Amino acid sequence: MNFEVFLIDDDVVDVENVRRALRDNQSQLRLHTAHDGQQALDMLDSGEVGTKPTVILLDLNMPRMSGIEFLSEIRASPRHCRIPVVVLTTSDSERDKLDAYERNIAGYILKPVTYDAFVQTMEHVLAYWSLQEFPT
Amino acid sequence: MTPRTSQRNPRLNAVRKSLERHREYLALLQGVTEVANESSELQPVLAEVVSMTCESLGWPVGHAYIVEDGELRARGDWYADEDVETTPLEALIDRTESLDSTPGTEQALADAEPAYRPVADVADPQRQRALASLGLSSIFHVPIRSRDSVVAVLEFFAPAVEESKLADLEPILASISAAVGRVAERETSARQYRELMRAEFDREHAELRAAELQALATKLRQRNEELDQFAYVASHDLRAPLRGIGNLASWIARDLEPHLTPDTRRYLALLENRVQRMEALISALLEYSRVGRNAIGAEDVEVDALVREVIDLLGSRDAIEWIVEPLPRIHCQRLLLRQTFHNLMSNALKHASGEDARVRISAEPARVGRVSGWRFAVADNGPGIDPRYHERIWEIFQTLRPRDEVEGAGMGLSLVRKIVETRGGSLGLDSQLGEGATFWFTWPASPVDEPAREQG
Repeated sequence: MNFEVFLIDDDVVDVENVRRALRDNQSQLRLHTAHDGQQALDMLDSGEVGTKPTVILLDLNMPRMSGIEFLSEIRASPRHCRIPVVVLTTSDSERDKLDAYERNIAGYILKPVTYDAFVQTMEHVLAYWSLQEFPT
Repeated sequence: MTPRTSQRNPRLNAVRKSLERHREYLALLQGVTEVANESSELQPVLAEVVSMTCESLGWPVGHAYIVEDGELRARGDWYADEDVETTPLEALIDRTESLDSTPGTEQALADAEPAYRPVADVADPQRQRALASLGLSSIFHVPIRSRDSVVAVLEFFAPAVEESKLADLEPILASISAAVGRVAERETSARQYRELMRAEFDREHAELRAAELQALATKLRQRNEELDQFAYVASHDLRAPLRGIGNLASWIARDLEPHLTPDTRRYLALLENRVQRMEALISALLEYSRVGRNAIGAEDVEVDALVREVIDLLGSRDAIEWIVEPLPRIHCQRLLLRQTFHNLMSNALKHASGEDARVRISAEPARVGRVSGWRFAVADNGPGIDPRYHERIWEIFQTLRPRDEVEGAGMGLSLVRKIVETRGGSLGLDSQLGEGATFWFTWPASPVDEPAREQG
């Protein structure tokens, strides 16, 4: 199956970090990026991403629309509510973790990302898609 | 009154004389009463009553004592007839008289009744002579009472007084005493009222001051919390861009590897090294700010085991001898005590030197503020620290040696100070150049209960 990774993060270096990690892993995953929640929502709505089995990597602290706001939006959307989301953030605060898990996330990874945690989470998420029939 | 009429009927004449005397008495009492009613201050009333009494009764000399702390104190203003020179007498009657040195005053004080004494009763011969030379042979004392105590005594000196007249005088003097006593009472009441108001004011002032202090303490605590919060957030936010710099440097190093010159390779290595140092500083700052944020429960701690644990952790150097003296078992917040020992011991390890490098850890019971506790010491035999640096070493980010020589964030001792002082303990350094250094700190054995604060 053809998997896609949708990374939503406003930090260019962090985006680059994920890009290099996928590249170094010789991953076949396709990477899409957005730099805030609003742009990500627009891309999902336009069908630019999310039409194939996708995992969203989501930063929390972003301008315009924060990660939590974005999560609330897509969980309320019948079209996007089933996309698994992994939070990727520097925030270690209990509040953020609670807010994120309440919106049904598939994982919470603290930056700086260790390669192990990253790969492990991606594998779990990919296993999810192999058990689910992707809605078309 | 003419001599002619007086010769006509001796009895009538006597009655007239008596009436005349009583008229004068009435005038005196009326005068005294008016003065007494007009004033609420005793001292001016005393002076005026003395002069009125002397004038009315024809007594040449009079003055007043005030009772202060159980002693009679002569007031400065004397009344004396123009032809009477009282200077020697005034000099004799000292400004301060003990109660028993003036005969009669003692009695007057005890009875609080007007009293008459002949000059012959005066014990002091000098005073007796002085009075005799002025032709004065009688002494009258009029005590002035306020409530239950005598506050003043009027003293009059007069020539010989006939027995019959003495009987007349007694009620007059008693009335004067009562009238002036009312002034004294009013004065006392006024003073007590003022004192009451004053006490009330003081109390309100003290309450206000206590409230201010309370507010100040609260504000200070808030400020400290804000400062910790600031340090936490600041260092947290400093980390992200720094990590970016570190990533970028390592990517450049990797991607350009075939093209690097020895110089550019070294520069990139230095860049990464500096990033790591900055990371260490930020971590230390974070840790420092967390000391105030984390409430950790107390437990029973074997300090000996704790110290040996730290030694295991630090003991990468072979050429060092750890000497651990008997250490107590105490109830405390384990992690904080461990951190304190860790920082002091790693500091000692860094500085202990020579063939026989030694670090000694010891303890003795000590008072910590109002509670009991222990005084712990970590002593090394290193180069020692010049006393002029003893203050500076506790400050944040201070190291006394170049950074490339001793790796450390310069935060260890500041952290120790913050931990120890937060527990209510104190700490210090005993050291001379060339004689090693002993860092000591006190730790309450059973820490005071603190309200657990939310961990941010």
